[in-house]
Amino acid sequence: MQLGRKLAEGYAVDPEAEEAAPPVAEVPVEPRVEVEAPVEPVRA
Amino acid sequence: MAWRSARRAPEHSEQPLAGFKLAHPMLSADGSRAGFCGVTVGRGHVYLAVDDAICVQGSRHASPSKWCDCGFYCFHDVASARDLACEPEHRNAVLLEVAASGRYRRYERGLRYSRQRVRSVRVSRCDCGQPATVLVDTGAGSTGWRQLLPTCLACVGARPRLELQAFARLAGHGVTISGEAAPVDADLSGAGQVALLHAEMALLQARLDDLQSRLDALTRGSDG
Repeated sequence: MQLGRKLAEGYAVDPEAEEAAPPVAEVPVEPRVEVEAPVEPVRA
Repeated sequence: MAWRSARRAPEHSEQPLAGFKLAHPMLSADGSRAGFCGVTVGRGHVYLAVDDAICVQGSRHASPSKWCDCGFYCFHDVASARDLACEPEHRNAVLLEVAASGRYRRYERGLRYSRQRVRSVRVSRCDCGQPATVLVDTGAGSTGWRQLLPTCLACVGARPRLELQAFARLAGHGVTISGEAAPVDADLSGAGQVALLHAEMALLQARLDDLQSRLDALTRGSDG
């Protein structure tokens, strides 16, 4: 869809849409995995 | 000399902006929900009567983004949407009147925006030229959704049908739906009406001849 040259940016309020909007899905937080690097014994 | 900034202050509207666009009507696989599918950008994504834009390129940025072509699109005026509907691949699309809201980017001919509410659906004619009164499965679709086609009762055949008002109820949110009016013969001149009636009589005569020959063949078969 060709809309031509951009003229402006903005924000519009639609109370009817805001009441009816689907809930925003929460992004699941992935569990943080701690990996310990094996430490090789140091020979004297 | 001070430099003049080309950056304009963002606009703000306390009401949604009106727009027009084309879409394909969609029905969920279980038949419980109605939605729409775009005809250009995001044609593989189905949206509901009230919905938020997502990036169809798979990015997780807010839509619409300056760096991406994602977001809902619409024209400012209905004529532009009707012009687009003249393209052969869009002949079966329906015309949506929408309320655009949220963050938007305004262009010369339309908007790209983040939230959309479908106000009304205007259904195109059946392929035969008669006003479409039902929707049937096209055989196309995407995962979980069947794409529907506006059709008249004469052409629907044995296919399962969905009444236009049933589609509006499934879409919810007060969406209204209407079809185009029947062709008006009064627009034809006297000569045009005579030509049209001659064509219809020729069609009927051909149909009668066909029926007569089939009847004769059946009669001969039963006699022998």
